[in-house]
Amino acid sequence: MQHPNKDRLIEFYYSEANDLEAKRVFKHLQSCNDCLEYLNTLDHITGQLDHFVNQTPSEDTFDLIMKDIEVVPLKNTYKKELFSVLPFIRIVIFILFVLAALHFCQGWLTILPLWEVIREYRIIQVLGSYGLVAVVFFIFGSFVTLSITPVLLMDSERLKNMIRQVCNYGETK
Amino acid sequence: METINPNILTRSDEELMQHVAERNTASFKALYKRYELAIFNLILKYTGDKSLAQDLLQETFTRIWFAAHSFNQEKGRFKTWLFTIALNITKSEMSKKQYSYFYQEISEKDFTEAGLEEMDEKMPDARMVNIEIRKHVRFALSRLEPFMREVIILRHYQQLKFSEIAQITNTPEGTLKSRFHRAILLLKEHLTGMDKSYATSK
Repeated sequence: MQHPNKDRLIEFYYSEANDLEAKRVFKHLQSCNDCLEYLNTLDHITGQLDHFVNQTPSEDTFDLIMKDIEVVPLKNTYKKELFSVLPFIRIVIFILFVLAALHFCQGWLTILPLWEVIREYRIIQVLGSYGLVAVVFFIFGSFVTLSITPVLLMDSERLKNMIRQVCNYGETK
Repeated sequence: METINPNILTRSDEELMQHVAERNTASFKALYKRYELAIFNLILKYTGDKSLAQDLLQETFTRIWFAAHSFNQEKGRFKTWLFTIALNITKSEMSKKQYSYFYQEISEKDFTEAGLEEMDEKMPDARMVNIEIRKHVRFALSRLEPFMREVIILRHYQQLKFSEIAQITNTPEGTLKSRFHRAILLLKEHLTGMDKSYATSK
């Protein structure tokens, strides 16, 4: 005898099965004590759960919410400013920081004995010490960005869900 | 504060949300009245702590007020959005406080609030049995893993369909049904002892 799986029985119990599926399960139940017993268990347990009755929150909750709302200034929370200079200031600071880093690193590079060896090459003569440091920065930056991108793309919740699905948490269908 | 106009009560959640986005407190109050019990009991059953449920209910609706402009009815129903926010706030608070379920003994106050005081005074045994069952149910719920408790609460107590729960929790329906099945088996395990002791006491 082909038993409907537990998902179908749960859907049937909560009237979520479509008509065809519901008729199929109903017909099956007339001749299957195991499935009928499962539904009885479900009914018994959910009946027990009903003893944890609903309670009501205190009556002043809404007033407290309104107080909270009045305390928080609206403009910071829901009205976005159309134009802000802050991002531009941040970009300028970032560019200055990168230029300073380039200057510092090329200073170090030119005092290394290695520089005397490699400066003879045509490509190094074209790039210059600043160009070489910029290329190294670019390669290093690309490497770091590509390494951490998968981690950034996956927020922790999605990661948790993936792990759950892979490990299945010992759940059985 | 504005009083609730009877016409407001006939409006859909989504219509009310449009008004809330325009800072209409009467619509906000109507929405609150519509969902306070559901959200309060969702949090209460998840955390097992009444005062925490009270605080998180407050936080949920405060967040609804401030995030009203970001609600997009084309992306989904208001109810699903509200439950998602309430559940996220609750989960975040539970992880912050590093406890999985704050199980509280049932006080006489809870007992009267649940309406059990109306039970016939000539039946003190029945009254005691009800308190015992309620204690056991709360304890059995507290033993469940949060992801199992959440599906039991949303499906059984909140009467949401599995498809709605899937949207709220961002989990496939099949996984939810599997969790529900597993949770029922665990509850059966925890509540069987109760049935036996209840039967012997009768």
